[in-house]
Amino acid sequence: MNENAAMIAALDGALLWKVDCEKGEGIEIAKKYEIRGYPTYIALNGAGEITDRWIGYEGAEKWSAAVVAAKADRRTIVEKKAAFEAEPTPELAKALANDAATGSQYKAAVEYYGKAQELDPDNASEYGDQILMSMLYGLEDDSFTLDEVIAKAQLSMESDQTPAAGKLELALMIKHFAGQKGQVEKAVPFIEAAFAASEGSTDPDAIKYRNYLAVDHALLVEKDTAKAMDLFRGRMPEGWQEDADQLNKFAWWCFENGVNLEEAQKYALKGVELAETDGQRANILDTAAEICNALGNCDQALAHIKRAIELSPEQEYLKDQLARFEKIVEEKKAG
Amino acid sequence: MRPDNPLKRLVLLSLLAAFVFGVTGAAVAAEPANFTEALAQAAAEDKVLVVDFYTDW
Repeated sequence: MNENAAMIAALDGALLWKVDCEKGEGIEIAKKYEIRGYPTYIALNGAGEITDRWIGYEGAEKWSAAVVAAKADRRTIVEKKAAFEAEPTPELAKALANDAATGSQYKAAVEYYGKAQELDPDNASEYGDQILMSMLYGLEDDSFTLDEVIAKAQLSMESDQTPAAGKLELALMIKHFAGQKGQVEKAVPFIEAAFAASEGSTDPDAIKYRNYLAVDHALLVEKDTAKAMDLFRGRMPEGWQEDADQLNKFAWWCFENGVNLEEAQKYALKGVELAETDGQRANILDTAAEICNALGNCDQALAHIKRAIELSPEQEYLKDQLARFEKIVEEKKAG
Repeated sequence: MRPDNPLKRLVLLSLLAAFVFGVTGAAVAAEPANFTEALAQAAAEDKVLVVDFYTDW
């Protein structure tokens, strides 16, 4: 059975309906069902109550299995929780874990996936992957510490069961989240290990992820900034220097990695000029403000962020940024 | 401001594209025009309604 056939078979007894969450009625429906990322899939009964939900598309096989599970147990999530308390099963544990992860309840997701692992040891590896993913995303709201996640991720990185592409993907994620936490150096062993494990791999996914990770490898492992910049530039799409979002992407990357800040500032300001909406202009001004601040030009950073707030006053994030930059200026004045 | 999480896009985009354009076209003959219709049709046919929340980036 090919992938499409498997998915079509899974949909026998189900009705699939797609909605763009940023257009028309999709905006309100996404708000109603508290959609936090794309793609999200929600199974509903006739009353519009949630019976299952999961986030992300991990291939036809897993997607089809999720639909089959949704058809097999059409109780609501509330009913499934009660049933799990009365008599735990791996199917219920998995459904409740998926529900928790979709709702960004990462601690609960890890607990339920852990229960599923206990109840269904034959599939322990699959649940282990889900536990690690939930822990990684749980870094964003401090459900888990970076060290807790790294300890768990090391097991996957050292395992023979993890394919090269999986190790590269994991290294990319660790780099992303460690960078967000200001501890990017903790990603270095993962980048090195993933590169070693994928040397000479012919798996297309491994090749693709290795290309992505090559920039980080050059910057953090080889410590060759010029090479990293060349690789990053090479990855930018054609015409990027005339596209506001792409200019922002380039400038942000430089800021995030602390390299090439003078040039990044020029690109950010060009992005501000080319921006087509006030919201887009405000977002790029925030990038410009961060770069100015990194270059020690605090007054200019304040000016950029104030202009960003004028353009997009509804963004609370920008007001937090203003408070942050004002504090930096005060601390500087205080010596 | 940080562009939208590039990592999530990186991991999911190619697979998602295959799904959105490849499968659903074959699987859904007459797609309900709106959410209310989709719910009503699923209820009338005693089917689970699976809603795919996506967006075009």
